[in-house]
Amino acid sequence: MARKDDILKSFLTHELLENKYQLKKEELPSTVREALNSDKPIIKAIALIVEGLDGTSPVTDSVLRNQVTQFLNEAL
Amino acid sequence: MKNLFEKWKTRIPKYSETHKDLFTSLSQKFGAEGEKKINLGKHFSTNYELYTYAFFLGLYNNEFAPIPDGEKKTDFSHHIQHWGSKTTVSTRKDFTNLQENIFIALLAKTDIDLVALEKGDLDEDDAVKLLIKTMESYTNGGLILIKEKLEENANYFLQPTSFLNMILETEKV
Amino acid sequence: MIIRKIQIDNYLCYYDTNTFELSEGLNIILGENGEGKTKFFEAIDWLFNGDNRELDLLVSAKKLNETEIGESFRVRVSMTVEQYGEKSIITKSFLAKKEKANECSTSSFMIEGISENSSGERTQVDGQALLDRIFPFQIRKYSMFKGEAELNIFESDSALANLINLFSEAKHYDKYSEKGAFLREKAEKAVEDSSKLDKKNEALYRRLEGEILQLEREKEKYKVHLNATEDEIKKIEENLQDAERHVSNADALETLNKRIKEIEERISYLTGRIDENYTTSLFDENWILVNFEPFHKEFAEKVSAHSKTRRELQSEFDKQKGIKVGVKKAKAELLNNAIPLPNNVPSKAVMEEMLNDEICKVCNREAKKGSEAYEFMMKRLKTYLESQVTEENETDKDEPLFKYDYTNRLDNLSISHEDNLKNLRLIRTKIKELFEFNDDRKKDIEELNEQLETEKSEREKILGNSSIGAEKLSDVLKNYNAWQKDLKNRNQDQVDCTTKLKSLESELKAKKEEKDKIDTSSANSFLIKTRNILRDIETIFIDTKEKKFDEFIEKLQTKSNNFFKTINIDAFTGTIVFTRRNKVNRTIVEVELQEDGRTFYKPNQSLLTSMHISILFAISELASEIKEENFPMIFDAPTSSFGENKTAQFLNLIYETENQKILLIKDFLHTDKATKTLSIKKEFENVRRDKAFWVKLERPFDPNNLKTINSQVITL
Repeated sequence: MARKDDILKSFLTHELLENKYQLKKEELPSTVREALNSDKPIIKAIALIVEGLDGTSPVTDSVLRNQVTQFLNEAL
Repeated sequence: MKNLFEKWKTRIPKYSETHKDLFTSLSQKFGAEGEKKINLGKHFSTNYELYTYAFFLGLYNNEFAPIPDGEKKTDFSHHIQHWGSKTTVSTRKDFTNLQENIFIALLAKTDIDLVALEKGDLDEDDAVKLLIKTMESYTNGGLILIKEKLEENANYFLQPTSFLNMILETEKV
Repeated sequence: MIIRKIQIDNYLCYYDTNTFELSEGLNIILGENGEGKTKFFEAIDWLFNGDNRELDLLVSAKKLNETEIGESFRVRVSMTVEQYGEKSIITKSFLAKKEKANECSTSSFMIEGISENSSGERTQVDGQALLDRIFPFQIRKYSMFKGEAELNIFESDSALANLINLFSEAKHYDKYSEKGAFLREKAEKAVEDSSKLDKKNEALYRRLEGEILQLEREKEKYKVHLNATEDEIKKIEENLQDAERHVSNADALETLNKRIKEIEERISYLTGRIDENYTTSLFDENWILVNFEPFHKEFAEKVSAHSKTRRELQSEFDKQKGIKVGVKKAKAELLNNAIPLPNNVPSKAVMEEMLNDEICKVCNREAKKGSEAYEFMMKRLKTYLESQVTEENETDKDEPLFKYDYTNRLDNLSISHEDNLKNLRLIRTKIKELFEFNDDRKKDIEELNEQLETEKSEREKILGNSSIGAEKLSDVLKNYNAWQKDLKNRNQDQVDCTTKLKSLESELKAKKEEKDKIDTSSANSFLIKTRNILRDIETIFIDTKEKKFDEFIEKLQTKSNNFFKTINIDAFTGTIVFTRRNKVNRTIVEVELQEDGRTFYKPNQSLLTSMHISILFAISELASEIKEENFPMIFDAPTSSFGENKTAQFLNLIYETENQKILLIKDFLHTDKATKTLSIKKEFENVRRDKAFWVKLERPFDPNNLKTINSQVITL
């Protein structure tokens, strides 16, 4: 497994996701690719960031920001 | 009533000059008590103490050794009547009573014709002289005994009990 | 990565070429002090880290001596390593040119790298790059252990944090927390800007912003203060712990001193009671009279005899006179013509008493007035009284028999001393009792002296154990009490600070919530939603990063303690504890030794060494796990503070670990006292290792003449 997947997974174990966002553990994706297709905004947002930082081609700050906000705009 | 004792104790008995060293080493003329005595390394505080001791030592051991006529005699200028007076010394007790004991022993051991004395045929001074002679003789004997002991063992008297022991050892001679 | 070979040329005591062909596992290099062991370590260190300074000091004096002026030679340290099946050679060297006797000039050093692939092809590569690739700097740093002096990997706050960042996954998370913060801040600003647009809220908003800022600033201040207080507390606790060792001694010392004083006083008292002034007592206590009794007896007999004789003569005389004169002086005559007693016996008082009572009290017969007995007694008394009075008109034309009377006084003397005889008889007993008393006191004193000795040696022990003297101990006690007070205050400070921080936090929270409320009501809802999500994401990032960090520390701690327990068979029950502390703008990791939850501030050298070695091994193990590669570890004299037991334990442990180790020790070498020759002790045969070397100076050598210094490498 690629590192980015491990990193993603480690983020998703945070209790916030279970408590505040009511996301059950079974529902959580295990790869970045999976997460990028998630319909849960927070998961996808995290996946975007992970991909942006540890993915195949890292992006700049402003690009990342745009990506995230654009996505959230769409999703929320 | 006459008192021979009173007369006798006004005297100063002598000792043989050969024993001068003993007096200078074992005792202190004019006296040394307590710390002073220890500092000077003396066994007896005064000369008369040594004299008294030597007398009794000689007496108990029956060492009657008259000082030979030729020998020079000397004394320490201290009348018998003052012997044992420790009124100025707080650490010592008065033993002037020993004077009487000495006198008693002397009278016992000296051949004095008391009858003649009391009749007036014998001069009091002469009687006293005889007593003094006895005293000097026993003392001389005692001093000789002490000297011999020192020759035997120079360290004998370093023990605190040595002088006492010499007296105790002579039992009913 | 494995070091296959190390070659040292003309470096310090290594004259010409010296080669160490190392094995994969444990390599032990034996060497006496000063014979090349540490220089080997330093050569490697120079290869890894050395700079261009003072290269002339690294030159072999012997080689320099042999070189002609103007000629040069190379000083070189070279390492052949193997990694992933590929061989590489890294060489650091410089030229030394002899200018004068004992002087040379040096070129700058160069690092050459040669890479050899599986087929044996060699290519030249950049030496430094090769080195960093093969043996990364951060790992190198923790692979070399030089004696007890250099343990600074743990001295600097950031060192361990860097290490952890190096090895743990936590380092990957740094950028996430950064980005998370960035995104959130942007979102926050967006919301703020949107809120501000609503004029209604502008003032309130601005005020809140101001207040929040103020609170944040205060919070920062308190955080700094709290950190400082915590540091101070640590320092005080350290002092206290140090002092505590002394203080328990100081207390014990005080008690002992009291006891000792008591005993000494008692001894002094008893000594004072001993009276050995025997010679003086001869006089003062009249002991000189101990054998006097027989002489008194003689005297008494003599006097008594004389008295009788005198009375006899007097009586005769009187009789003669009486016959002549008639009954002028009628003297009472006794029955049987016995010699009368002296006139004054019995005394006047006794006579008067007897006459009064009309009894002769000597023979207990009646002497009624008028009787013969009465008259006799009366006459006696009269005679006595008359004799006391000097009758002036008594003309005794005849001379008395005895002119003087010495007898009276002598008699008195005899009688008075007779009474004292009983005291004389007690003298021997008194002397004996005194001896016994003195002996008993002496025995008591002896016992007390023994006690005193015991107490005194106890005191010696305590003073010996405390590294400071007796006067200093009382100072320590004073300081100790001051520190305790200080600690109390600081702890209170800490509590107050923490409380204040908490209240500030809640204030801040309240203010922020207020602000949020405004935002929520006025700002674009989308912006708010986005901001909220990004807030959460940042929290997730930070928390995860910390978690990873802590996980690593946990691992490091567990591993370290495993090694620690193995090395430390000397029954030390403490553990190594790593703590993460968030300082103002960075995270640091502290490592300390704890025993029963309490920090152990001053561990001895042996403990410190084992602690650090354990951590190094733990790091090495972790590095292996993470990098999936093993790196060699080089130890210079790690066991110098260890005892035999611990050394043996350490050697066993070090054999078991997976990576390559080079161990430089001086144990197992024996110098013959007579011949001064070195030899290897038999015990070394039992030490497990994969390869062993012995570096020793070529003999003979002059320790003061560097030209004779040449280390030789012997493969065992």
